[in-house]
Amino acid sequence: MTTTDTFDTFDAFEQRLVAAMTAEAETVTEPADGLDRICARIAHRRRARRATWLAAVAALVLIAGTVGVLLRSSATDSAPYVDTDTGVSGPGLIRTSDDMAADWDHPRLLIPDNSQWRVQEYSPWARYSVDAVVEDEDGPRHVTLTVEVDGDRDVVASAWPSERRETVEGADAVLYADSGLRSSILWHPSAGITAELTDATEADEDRRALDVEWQRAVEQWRDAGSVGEAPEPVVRSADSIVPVPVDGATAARLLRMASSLVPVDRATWLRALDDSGVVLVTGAGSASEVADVLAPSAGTGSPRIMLPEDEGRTVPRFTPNMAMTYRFEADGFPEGTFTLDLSVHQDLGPGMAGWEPVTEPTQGGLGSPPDLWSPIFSPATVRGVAGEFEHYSITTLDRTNPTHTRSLRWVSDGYDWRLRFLGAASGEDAIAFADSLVIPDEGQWTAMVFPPEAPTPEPQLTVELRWQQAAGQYAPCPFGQSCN
Amino acid sequence: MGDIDDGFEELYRQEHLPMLRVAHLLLDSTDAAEEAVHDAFAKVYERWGRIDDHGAYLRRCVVNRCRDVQRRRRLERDRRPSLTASYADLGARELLDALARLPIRQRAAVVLRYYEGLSEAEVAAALDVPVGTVKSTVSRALTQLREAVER
Repeated sequence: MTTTDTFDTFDAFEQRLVAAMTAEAETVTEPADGLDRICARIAHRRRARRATWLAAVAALVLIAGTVGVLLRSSATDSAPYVDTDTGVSGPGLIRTSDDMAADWDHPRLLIPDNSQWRVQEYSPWARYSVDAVVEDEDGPRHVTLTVEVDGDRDVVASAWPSERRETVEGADAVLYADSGLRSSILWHPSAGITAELTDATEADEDRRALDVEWQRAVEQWRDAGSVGEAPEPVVRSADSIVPVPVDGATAARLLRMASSLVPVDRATWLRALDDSGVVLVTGAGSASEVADVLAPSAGTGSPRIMLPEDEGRTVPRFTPNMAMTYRFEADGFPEGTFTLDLSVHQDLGPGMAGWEPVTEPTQGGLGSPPDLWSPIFSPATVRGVAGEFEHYSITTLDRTNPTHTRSLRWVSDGYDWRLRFLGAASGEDAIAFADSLVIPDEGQWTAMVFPPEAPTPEPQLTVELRWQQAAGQYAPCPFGQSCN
Repeated sequence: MGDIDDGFEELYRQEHLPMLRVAHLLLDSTDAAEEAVHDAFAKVYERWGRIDDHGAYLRRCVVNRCRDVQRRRRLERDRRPSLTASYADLGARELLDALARLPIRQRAAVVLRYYEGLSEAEVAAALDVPVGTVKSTVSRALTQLREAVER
């Protein structure tokens, strides 16, 4: 009780009440840490308010972002770069449609803070794959991919279209969607297969209806590939039009097809190559469940792959010709001096050896004058057989420096051999080099082209992703630093 | 804590223990009283520059905080044994128990009026009610306490 005067005016009950309360209150003593606890509480309340504020801001940002995405998705005309179907790639990437602000005054690459990338799948036989999407309003940018293996660096410059990573039948595959060409490429990293599907009706005329390419390098070969080409832009059949664009089901079918052909179905494949005439090779010894091989038909000279469609129909999809290319390393010559092309032999009629040098005008490009194509063929003896040199130059009328191409050609073991050589080597050097080649027999070929086992171990790669930008427009992003 | 350190520490020295005791009488718990008082001090600190009478504002915060606590504890309070002893048999504890059974506004008015010794106007300010309400509230509280101890 703090006011004695007032206490004196209380009646007995009130005084007893005061006494009881005072006695009870005096059981409470001053805590030693009262002020510290109050300060701690003040700090706690501050943190709580800050957290609440941040949460509120985050919620507002989320709401604003969601509204923005909805607005952009509903107004495609005003958001030309947004493509939710193609703006996605692998882990760590920024999704263009979600995170790339429409601030083209300061375009930025879609690269997160950590600019170190790890190749997810690597095989010395196959292509490198890096989850990278570099895109702005002008479309894909050029990126420079630096690959480091065991301290040695190699630089691979490439421009990729948007990509979408999908998992097809348990295997990762990268589906490249190139809207400009209306084509899609399915890349199977483990099989080293690239299957490309092109809409021939809208693509360049030179593009085939369906090209299937796979890459298999062999030991001591730096680069080897086999490229298939369809002889016709598209199979003229209503039920054989290749669907475009590629959806998941088509991608899966492509993958099954390619996987079954290359690593598994090589016996059928080789048998088809050796056969002549129209022979449909099926079944026996083939593990293929989705494709058969049609042996070369008259006039095409190349086997065809038959894809069984629904209701038992089979449709020719593409016709590989088994062309392979290899760049040799030869002692005493710069790297890349010699390149060997190999393809199934095709009888092209009378040999060209002995032809007189001619100069023919060729069709020039758009707005440019015609070129002069000056092939020179001369006979040569290569590896004990008749061959020929092919030397032609292409000289544009408005340039003085012609482009020379020289090669040595011969036929052996049912293959057309073509050894291209650069200026560092003479024709005699090319013949000597060709004579020194050890041509593998069929079994060795098979083992090289279709290695029974993948090389192990696969090296760990650290990929440094850089990019090229127009000078003066954007600041480069140093390795290891944030580029946002 | 900046420029208000001195004033806040002075307020703490003057009012912390009295407010703890008031809160204790309102809540019947030292721990709960400390919680309420510390919260009230923190609130005063945060509004320091906007408060004219820090002591009165602190008291009001304490009462309000105790009122909030009491609302949550109402059920628990209602489960307490009813008073059956006569007034003559009641000791201080029983009287305090009877006080504890009062509604929180009556209890706060009694504590502020009789323990704190505040004038009816000061009690009215602390409870944010008119002075007349304080008079009637205190009168009804005393009546109930008398009735409780006389049963």
